[in-house]
Amino acid sequence: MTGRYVGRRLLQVLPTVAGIVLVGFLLIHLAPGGPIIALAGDSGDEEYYAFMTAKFGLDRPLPEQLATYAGNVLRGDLGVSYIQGRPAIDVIAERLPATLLLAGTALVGSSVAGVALGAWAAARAHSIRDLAVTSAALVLYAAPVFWLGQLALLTLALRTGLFPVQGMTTAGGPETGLAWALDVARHLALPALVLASQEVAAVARLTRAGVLEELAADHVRTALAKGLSDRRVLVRHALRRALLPVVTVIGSRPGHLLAGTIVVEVVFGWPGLSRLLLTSVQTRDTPILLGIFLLVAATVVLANLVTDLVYGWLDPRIRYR
Amino acid sequence: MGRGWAGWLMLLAVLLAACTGSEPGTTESPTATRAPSPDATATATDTATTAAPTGEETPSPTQTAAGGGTLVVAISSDPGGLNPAITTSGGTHTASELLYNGLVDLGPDLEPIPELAESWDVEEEGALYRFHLRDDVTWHDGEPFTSADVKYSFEEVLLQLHSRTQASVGPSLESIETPDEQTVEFRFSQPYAPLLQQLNVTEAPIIPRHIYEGTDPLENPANNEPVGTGPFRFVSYTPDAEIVLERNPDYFEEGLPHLDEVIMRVIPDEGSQVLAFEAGEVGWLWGVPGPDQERLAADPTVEFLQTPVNPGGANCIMTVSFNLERPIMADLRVRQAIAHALNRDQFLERVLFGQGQVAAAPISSGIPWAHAEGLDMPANDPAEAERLLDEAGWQREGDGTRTAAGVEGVDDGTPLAFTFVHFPTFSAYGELLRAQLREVGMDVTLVPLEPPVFAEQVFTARDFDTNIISYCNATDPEIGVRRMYHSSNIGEVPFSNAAAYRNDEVDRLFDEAQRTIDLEQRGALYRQIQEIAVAELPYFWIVETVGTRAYRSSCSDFQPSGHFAKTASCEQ
Amino acid sequence: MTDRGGGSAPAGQPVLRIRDLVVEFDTPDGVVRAVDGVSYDVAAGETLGVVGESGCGKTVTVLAVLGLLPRRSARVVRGEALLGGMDLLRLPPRRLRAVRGKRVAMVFQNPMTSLHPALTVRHQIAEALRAHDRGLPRHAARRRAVELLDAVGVADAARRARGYPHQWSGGMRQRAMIAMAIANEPDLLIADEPTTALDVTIQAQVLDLLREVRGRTGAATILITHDLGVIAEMADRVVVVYAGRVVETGDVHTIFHAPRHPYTLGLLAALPRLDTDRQSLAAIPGQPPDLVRRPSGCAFHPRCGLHRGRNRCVAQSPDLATVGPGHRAACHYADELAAETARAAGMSAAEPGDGPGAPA
Repeated sequence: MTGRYVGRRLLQVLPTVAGIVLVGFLLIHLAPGGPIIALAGDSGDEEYYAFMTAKFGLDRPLPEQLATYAGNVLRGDLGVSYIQGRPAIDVIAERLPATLLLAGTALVGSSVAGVALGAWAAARAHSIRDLAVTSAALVLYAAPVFWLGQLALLTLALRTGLFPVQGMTTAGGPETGLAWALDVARHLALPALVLASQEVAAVARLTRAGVLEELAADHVRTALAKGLSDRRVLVRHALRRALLPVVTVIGSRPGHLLAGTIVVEVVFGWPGLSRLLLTSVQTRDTPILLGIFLLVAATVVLANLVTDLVYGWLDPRIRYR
Repeated sequence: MGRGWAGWLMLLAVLLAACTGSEPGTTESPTATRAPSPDATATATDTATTAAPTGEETPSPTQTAAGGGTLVVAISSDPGGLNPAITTSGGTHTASELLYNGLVDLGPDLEPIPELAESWDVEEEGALYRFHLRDDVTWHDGEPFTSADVKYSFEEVLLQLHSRTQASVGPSLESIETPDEQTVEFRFSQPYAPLLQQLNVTEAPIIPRHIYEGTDPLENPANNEPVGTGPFRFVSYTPDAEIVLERNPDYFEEGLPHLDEVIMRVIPDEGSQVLAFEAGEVGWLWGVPGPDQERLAADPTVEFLQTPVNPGGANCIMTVSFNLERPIMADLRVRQAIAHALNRDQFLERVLFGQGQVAAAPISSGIPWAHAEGLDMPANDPAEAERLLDEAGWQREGDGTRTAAGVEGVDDGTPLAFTFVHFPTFSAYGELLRAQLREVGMDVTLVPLEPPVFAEQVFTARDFDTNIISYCNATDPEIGVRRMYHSSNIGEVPFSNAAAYRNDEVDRLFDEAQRTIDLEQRGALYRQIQEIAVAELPYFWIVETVGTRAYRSSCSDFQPSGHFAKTASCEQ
Repeated sequence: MTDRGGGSAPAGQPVLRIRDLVVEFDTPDGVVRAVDGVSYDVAAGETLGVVGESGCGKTVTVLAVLGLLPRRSARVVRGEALLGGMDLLRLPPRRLRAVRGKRVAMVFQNPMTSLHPALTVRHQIAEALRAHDRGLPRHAARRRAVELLDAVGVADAARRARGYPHQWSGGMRQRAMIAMAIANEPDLLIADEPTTALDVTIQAQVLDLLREVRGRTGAATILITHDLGVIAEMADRVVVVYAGRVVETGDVHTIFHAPRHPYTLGLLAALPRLDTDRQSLAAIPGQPPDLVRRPSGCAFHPRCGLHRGRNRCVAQSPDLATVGPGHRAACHYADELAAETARAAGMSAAEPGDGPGAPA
């Protein structure tokens, strides 16, 4: 049953993503400005512009450009970057490991920490620890990411020298093996921390609210009456159902964490997709832009699917046919 | 606790730096330190003495004979590729110029210096240039460098894809001949004076024919694994992260380079660049934001190098353009009034933190033979501005915005309001200009636009009243100045004649200057142009911008741009 | 401390003794005294019926004993709850947990919400077993859980146990709850409105089950309900609670035939009867008391037919006084009631065993 459901949902991915890419294509081409100026800089004459425009096929009518692009995508060809002259798929794929590392670490870390903190706070609602968790979450959520990042750099990196200031690796540092992994880990720590701190807040507060509600439920009383420990009741009985809305929130984040973390990537010099997205927007590098749209759209749709499946696992009353 | 406060101020300073935006991505001028004279190669063994860059602002210690060391450099953006011949992008050039060479380099006073060409003849009053190439140059992959590489680079690449070269050299170039492997001849349909200024690694880098011929230069994978002739060789390129270059042991200038490795790290945020420099992760900054300069200057181990030459453009002037096709701006008195109302010293101080200088002439002081001295530039005189506006028919009641009363092409009662279009990074200029012009009764609306949109709105749609552009003059007025004033450059091509300025005399003078070989005569012609420009004010020139490099005193002997690290060395 | 299984106390000995329990709640409207000095005992092998209106404090009493009241808003002001020699109200949490589900087990009112919807029934019962026997391996616990379900009359227990509560019917769920409660053979079983949420026919089955369980294990049972019919059928002794106080206690026959508290009488009189000509139900006039602002004196006096404006009812709260062998009532004028009920006995009298669900 679940297998068929998954299959059906996967089929839905295609038209959704196609629709997003179509809208993206139209929006990019309708927006003012084009890629030639990024290549020309502040020089160039008419001949140059004519030459480059023809080279990229930008003088063709819009439907023709769209048809060409769509045809290519179906064959797995995302086009060639105007600015870099390399296949868009290569350019994007190169950034993927760094992005996945940062986004994945932040997502997993913030989810685990958020759920733990939220449940911990709810267990002693309205106490000092609850107040501490709730206000800390609020402060972190409200603090601008840029400020948090710079603060982290100044205090944790520059002052103490514990963490590096920039990049994913040390210049001229180890390139393979455990030493390299440790080097990357040291560089990953601060940006992941800053990114996660923004995510933790929502998860913690939502978990807290859900657990609080669940703790008032009858079945929790039954569990306690059975003689189960507070911790077991909290984790195995109350938390499980409280997590449903939390799972939804966490499931809505992968798309954003993939290409929407521009501030963190810029402040810490992390070579991820968000920066690529920004420069592609500034230079109107359409193949890269559309490639990233495609990737993010697919990620969001897949994350949705996974969320629904996790739902079904958390609450067996939800059944999919 | 005192140190704690310093930390907060630093944070605030960093934030402010980010908000106000840095100076434009301008280029440096070669007026600072410069490479050895043409005879340097003969006395190559004694590199210590020949490579003696003493910049205008750098109290650098005299170099040691010791070499070696690794230099880590911060760059602001991913180059996107390492071929400087197919683009004029500053990012690409910063990262890749160390890998290549041009035919002719330029000294501190823009005098030509041999590079790949060891000597040249100028014949037919500048219609024929013959270059004699060195015979001891090899590409990084071992292949010999020949004249065929030069011919290929120009014909198939530079004249099509390098926008500056294509626009300036292209029109009058007739042919490129290679009589033998060590000789290249450039033949022009009429004398072409500025050729020697356009042959360095920034304007015309030579790329290997044996790798690029028959392929599309824009997509050849060698763009990411470059093979050049330059002082450094390619090691690795991690996109948006790091580029590693190593010393080229077979480099044709003997004894150079000294450094073992140059590593370029992509750090997009200026504030983070400074932090990385302070943390010791980076040893060279291409530009230090104004607010941070004081703090870094207090550190005795930090050296500075100031220059108007930057990889993206040289000798740049922040220039206000007036759209002469608009009735308000068509009136010379209004333009003069604006010029008098502006306090250019304030721009220098507040926007550039004193780095640079007020523009004394339409052509940059970085091109000394063309820069006109003693011109009658409109001085800061708000009273005169008001008088001119009154005369032009713009009435003022009290301290409000002026309204039209008998102005040609404008209905009576129309307020003196107009738009000012600019890149978002130049918003500080807009704010200051608006404030200064409000004093004399002008209401300016700021319109910040991203570069692609700016280009369309200003040049394609011509929908603006005034704007500000960093017009880079480059190394010769033919390259960067002509396009602003020549009537043939009124059109859709961005960053050309924004004002839509038309003056037959000026056109004629430019055409003649292009053909005139004698530098003094050329200078006189450009002087005439500048006098007319100042009188007619199609533009108003605010400030000449510079870049401020920073490095540690454990390193020395840098050049401002291009092969900036060729002669440098760092203590281990 | 070794925990003895159910039934090991000799019949007749009190298993739980509640003494002068007072419980207060903080509400936005003020402090509510939900339990105002309740005392009763329950002996091994006996079923004690605790009856009263909704909100009279009968459930709060047992929740307080088990320490299941919300920590922040509820507090036990005073009192004792003696299980054997231990005062449950003063046990440290860990020891109280050892008691819950092992020596004292509870069956709750609404089995749909009282069972965890996302855990299998088998798991929930096994959990109860393993909570008190750490060494019990998982598969053994599961097997035992199925056995228990079988014992409470769930058909096809092995398969059904792997299902979830929402897949079970109401009656079966309650059976499962009972199975869970008796899993560790408690000395005391507390059933809080076990049949209220069920259909009438299912009610009968569940009551049968409870009776069977009681007989098999010999445990003491506290049966909390507002349904007199259930009391009549199941209880040995009865405690009547009003406004957080015990107003009458006695054996079931006496309570039904010769109640000595006007409230008890009112409850009995309100029972629907088929054998009279009465057109409408004889409800007790008035509303249940506001527990924030309690009536002075006897809490029942505003609704009492016996009060007749007499001052003593308003001035002084009556204590439980002995009115017969094993029979106590808290009313100043209990004797007057005796006379009246005797008069009315000829007209209509509810017999124990006449309530709904009586075995045919």
